[in-house]
Amino acid sequence: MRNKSKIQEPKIKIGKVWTGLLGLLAVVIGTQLIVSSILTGTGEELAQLEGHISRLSRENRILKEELTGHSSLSKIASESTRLELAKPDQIMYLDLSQPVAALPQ
Amino acid sequence: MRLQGKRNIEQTKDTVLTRILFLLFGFSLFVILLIGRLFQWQIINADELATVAKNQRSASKTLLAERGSILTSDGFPLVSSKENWLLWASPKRIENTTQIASDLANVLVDEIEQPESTESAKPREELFKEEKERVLGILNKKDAVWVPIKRKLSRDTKQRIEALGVKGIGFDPQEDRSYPEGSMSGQLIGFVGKDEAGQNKGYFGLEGYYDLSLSGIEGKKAWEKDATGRPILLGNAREVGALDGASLQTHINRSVQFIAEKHLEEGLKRYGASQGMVVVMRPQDGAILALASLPSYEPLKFNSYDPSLYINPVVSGSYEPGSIFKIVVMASALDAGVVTPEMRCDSCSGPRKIAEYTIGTWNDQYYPDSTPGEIIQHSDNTGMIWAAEKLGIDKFYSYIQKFGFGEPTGIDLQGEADPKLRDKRDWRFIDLATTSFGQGVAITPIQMVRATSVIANGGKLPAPQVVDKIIGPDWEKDISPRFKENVISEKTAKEITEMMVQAVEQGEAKWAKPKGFKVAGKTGTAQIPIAGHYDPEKTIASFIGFAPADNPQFVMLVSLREPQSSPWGSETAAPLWFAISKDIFPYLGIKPDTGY
Repeated sequence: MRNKSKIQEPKIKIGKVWTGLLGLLAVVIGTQLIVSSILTGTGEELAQLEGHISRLSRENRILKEELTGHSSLSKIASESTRLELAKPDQIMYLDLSQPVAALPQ
Repeated sequence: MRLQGKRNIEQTKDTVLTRILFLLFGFSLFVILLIGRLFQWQIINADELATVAKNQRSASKTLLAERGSILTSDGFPLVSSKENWLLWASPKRIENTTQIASDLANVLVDEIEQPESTESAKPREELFKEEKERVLGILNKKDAVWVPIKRKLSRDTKQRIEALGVKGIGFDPQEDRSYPEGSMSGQLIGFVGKDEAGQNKGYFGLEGYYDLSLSGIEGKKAWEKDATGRPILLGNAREVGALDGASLQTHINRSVQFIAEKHLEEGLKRYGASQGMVVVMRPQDGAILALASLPSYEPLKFNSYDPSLYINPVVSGSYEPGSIFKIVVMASALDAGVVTPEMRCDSCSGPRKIAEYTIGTWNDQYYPDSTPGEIIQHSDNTGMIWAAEKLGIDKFYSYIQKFGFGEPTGIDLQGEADPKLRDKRDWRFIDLATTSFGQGVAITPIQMVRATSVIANGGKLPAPQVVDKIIGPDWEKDISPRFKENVISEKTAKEITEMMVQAVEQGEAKWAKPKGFKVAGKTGTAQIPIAGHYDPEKTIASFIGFAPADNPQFVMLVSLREPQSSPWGSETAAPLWFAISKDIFPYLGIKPDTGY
């Protein structure tokens, strides 16, 4: 009987070790799944941010194009013609040495 | 009974053994097949499958590099880069090709550029039919994985096509050029076409000269993706960033350029000239403030123009300057000391006979005992021969070389011509005589502007320069003005300037001069040499001058080819010069002087 009980003790220990190892494996796998899930989410977020940057850059560029298009002299000239603005026939020159502007004699 | 039992046991054993053998055979076969399959995958098709696997998890894209802008002196873009779109299709994924071709053609037909002439323009129905046939031909290439349908699509067109909701088509961004100020300065700017490798390349003008600086370098980004296409953060990723091209900040004054172009266009119509040019340069540093020439082309549609229009006549065209050259010759004679402002011409009372040639004045009027100032004022050919005779061939030749004739100016525009002076040993007295009034010598307009700048700049010869700075992402490079040796003394420059002022005040075009401004200038009417003789009907009318004469802010050349209203520079180019100058004075901060 004593011999039998001596033989059964290691079996219990081996069982516990296996249980521990399997538990650890489960924890590692679980952790991996959680990290992967987080990274996947972050990857998606990164993709969205990159898309957002790209959209903003494109929008910025379009606005710049529109701005230059509207402030070009050819556009201003055609608008002034449309609005029937007249060319000035007298130009007043300001001189820093004189307190007021004077028309050319 | 016992025997029967034993036999049954034997039979059972046989059956079990047979089954075991069968299973063994089955497993062996399975293992052999498995090994065979693995051999096929891992040895025979290894490379192909590895590529497929890599493609499945890898993604990459080309990062476009923006070509640099060309800016005016106030930083406004004359040319900038814009994004447009390439429409492509994956024909395998497209069903009902006829209907889709029809839908796409209905949108794409609006992108087709029609010739300006209404006679050669096609009706929309015809264009639609042609476009539909073209698109259908592309979509029917079912073996192709990717085929381009149309390039350079605008954002609006892209949105219209996206609204159709067609599967199996897509868009790729592309770089293109945009011209916010229109395209009249096409010959100054140049255009962007393709090189032999299909890459963007600048040709002519600034685009050609500064192609290397303006061109960017494309980048590439590669990363690993998951099954849903999202990037894997811990996967392999590689990025080589795109390097945008540098921008050019020019000396071009946007207002002056606009005014010059506008007046030139009107001037060509008013005087019926076939070609015209205006160059405005700051004499102190050679900065080109405006450069316009007509007829020109639209850089964006350069393909639809005659290639002869790509050439800028200001830098690439050579011509005989005519009387505007007289200021160079008289300045040389004054500087050499062979002529003084007080001296009087003793051979100006009638036509001069040199060898078998008789040379008279342009209007057959003669002014005996003229001073150098009166010679310039009357544009007197006999007086110029007198001054040239005093100089002699050696000094004359040396001075026109010092004024920069016979060598390129070094302007930063592609395609500058280099008309050579004839070898001095070949010069005869008649060559000296005709060159003294601007005939028998070929120059470029920009050379004439530079030579006049010598007078406006107190005797120093500047190098014309269009670009002021090259601007990179985090660096700037200033392009310093370049000067050569002094050509004439400051005293001579003042003397010839005063003569040019009198030529304007007392000359044929004095009626057109804006009041209150002291202008130094000279008209010129050059005949055009054709097949060894001068065509009496065809002239190049020019006016060159600077203002204000005492403190020049600009030198300007106006030149009109074959004006129909009058052949004379005083009646065509000079009024145009004064009209332009009147408008640009305020923009250059030039105030009127009550004495003029």
